[in-house]
Amino acid sequence: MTAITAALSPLVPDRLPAASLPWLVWHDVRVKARSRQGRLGRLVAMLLLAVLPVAAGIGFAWRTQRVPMLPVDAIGLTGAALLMMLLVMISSAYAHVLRLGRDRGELELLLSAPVPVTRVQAARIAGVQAVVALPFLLLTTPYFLASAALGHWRWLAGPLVVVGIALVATALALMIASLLERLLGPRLATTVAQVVGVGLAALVFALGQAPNFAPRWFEAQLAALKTPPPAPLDWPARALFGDPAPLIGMLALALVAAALATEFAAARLEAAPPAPATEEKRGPAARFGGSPMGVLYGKELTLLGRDPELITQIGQQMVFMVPIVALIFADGRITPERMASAGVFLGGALASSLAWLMLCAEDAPDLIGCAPVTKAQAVGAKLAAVLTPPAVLVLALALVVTWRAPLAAALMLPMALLAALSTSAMQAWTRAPARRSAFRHRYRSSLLMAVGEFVVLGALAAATRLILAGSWWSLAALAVPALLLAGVWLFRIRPAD
Amino acid sequence: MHALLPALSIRGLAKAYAGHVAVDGLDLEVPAGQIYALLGPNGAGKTTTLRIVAGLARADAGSIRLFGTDVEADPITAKQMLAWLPDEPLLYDKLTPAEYLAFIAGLWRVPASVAEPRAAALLARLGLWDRRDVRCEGFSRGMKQKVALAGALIHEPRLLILDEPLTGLDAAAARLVKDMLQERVAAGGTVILTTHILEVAERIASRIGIIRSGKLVAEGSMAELAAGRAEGTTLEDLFLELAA
Repeated sequence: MTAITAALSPLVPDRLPAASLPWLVWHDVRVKARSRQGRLGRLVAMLLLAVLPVAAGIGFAWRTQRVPMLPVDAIGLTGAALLMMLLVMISSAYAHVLRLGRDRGELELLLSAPVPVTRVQAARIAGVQAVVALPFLLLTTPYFLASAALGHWRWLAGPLVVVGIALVATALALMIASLLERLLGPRLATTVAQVVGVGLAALVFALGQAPNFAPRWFEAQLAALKTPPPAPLDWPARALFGDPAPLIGMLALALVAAALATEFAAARLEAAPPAPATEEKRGPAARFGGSPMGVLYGKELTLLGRDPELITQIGQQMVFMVPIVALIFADGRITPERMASAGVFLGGALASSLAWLMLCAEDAPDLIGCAPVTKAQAVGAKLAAVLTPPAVLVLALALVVTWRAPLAAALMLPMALLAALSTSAMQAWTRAPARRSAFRHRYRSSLLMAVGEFVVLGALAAATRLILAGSWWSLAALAVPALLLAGVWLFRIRPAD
Repeated sequence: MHALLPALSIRGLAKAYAGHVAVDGLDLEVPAGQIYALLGPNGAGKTTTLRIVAGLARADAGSIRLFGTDVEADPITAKQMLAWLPDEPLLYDKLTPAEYLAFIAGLWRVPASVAEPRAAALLARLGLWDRRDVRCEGFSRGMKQKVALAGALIHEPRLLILDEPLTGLDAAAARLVKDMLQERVAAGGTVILTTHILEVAERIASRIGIIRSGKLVAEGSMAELAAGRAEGTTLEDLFLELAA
């Protein structure tokens, strides 16, 4: 029993009615928790991270304790925030809905059992709804609870509204999935949805950085949101603050959405083929020539180029770098030195994503293992493939920088290479080999490593700028990744053999 | 004298995983130009032994020679001579069968002028010609198994090692694979296979080795193994007697 299921088990009755909805949901939770066995460290990290929203929630509740029970001035801004939350939730729900369609193995077993299809689907959809709602609940519930304790008792409706919006988002995601699949086919629908997801995430991050990049525009938008929108557009925000009629309306809408979601899921299931799709995919043939190293290099780039899902996931991870890069350009001034720093950071970050995919993930490890190439040759070819896309990105930036500051460009190239090699090494030393399809679990698998990579990249980006400024502090900045890499190397995963 | 060298010679091979002895001082010699079936119950050490031979795992002790080449001392030369086909097909879903064969030919340094007609013949023989330019991601298990077999044969290995090669194949495909293995041997190759389908071993193998708890407990042709036993003794009878 894992820490998660052990923690939850007191909350679960000893004998739930077999094949009931709660029984199926509990089964789902147990299976998912056990697939993450031995991750007590993750639970501790999550609890530590939870301290932040609790502290922020209490602090913010303290600041807003004199606000009226229904703050009319904040309805517009709250509504806009809820709209953003809905968009992010739809994006998240869509990804999970697509996975539901693909991971059919266990579903076949459940569907062959004498249990109504809608109940099986309701249990699975409940899992999606929970995953979609949970991050936002963790972020907002401390604030609502603290506010209720400080007198805003109606604001206890907040978590209910967040859950309601998650139900609506899941239903909308299912509807969009069904519609796109009918119009475009399953494969293209997936690609389109992923590209839109990346765009959506970029939009949210860009809006988050608006106070830095466009302070006047941001102030104007805030002023405009002082006026509440007309009903029923103001209902979600009013419901959040416990206004009875909108709250009842929102909860009713959520229940309808939950019922619709189950119906849509059942319809999608019936429309889906019983076996994995056998859609034929033809295109220009890849040619593998030259030495075995050249063959391996070509294979890695071919596989990457043919996997839009992985490309969009890498794109999403690059989008998450926007706030960090925004820090480099904090006051809106774009100088060659800052571009050099950004190039180092982005080159290293892109290499990190690709390193896991190309160095650690391998769909046919036995094939490479028994091929007549040395391990060094295989790793060398894969590393060359890892460095190719970041090299293109950094060289493009270097061309722009060279025009204004050749020295900055000349320094950016080796520093970006150092950053790319550092993150690649961290990935190679700490990631257990897996199939490429495991890529989507990557960042969830080690929060500590993700933080470590940020520190290494941040230090190298800072070192680049400090070297260009002629500061001796650059040596201190360079020492940080050196020490961190040494530490990671000491605790690296050693082959079982 | 080259032709007299055994295809595979194993001396004192030992391997343990976390205290569990998988292979325990195994001695085994497989003559060239034969189909050799390595049998044993689950966990007997068959796959571990063959993975070590293929260079996929490191032995704790012992030596392995492929056609006289020490696998430990000269792994690249050894690997150049063999192909390994595990029970789960080794494929890249995003490559087509034609690309997959070109990839393997590249790894084993088979010139394109040789590999391309060879790939065409293999794909046609295995009924994959019409699907040669379709990515493998939608293939059934049997089709993937056939693509993997074509990959194992594209560089015409001197030693072909197969772990449960008939898993997932229909009757016609299984027959075809058995025929192709026999043709490979007729062309001078050597085949070592593991299988739980004893009829297959009995029908196509020249020699049979039975392994139990990491040790070879019996070896010989079917006639040699059955000698001294009641008339009509089957391989199943022998297996149950020796390996149980």
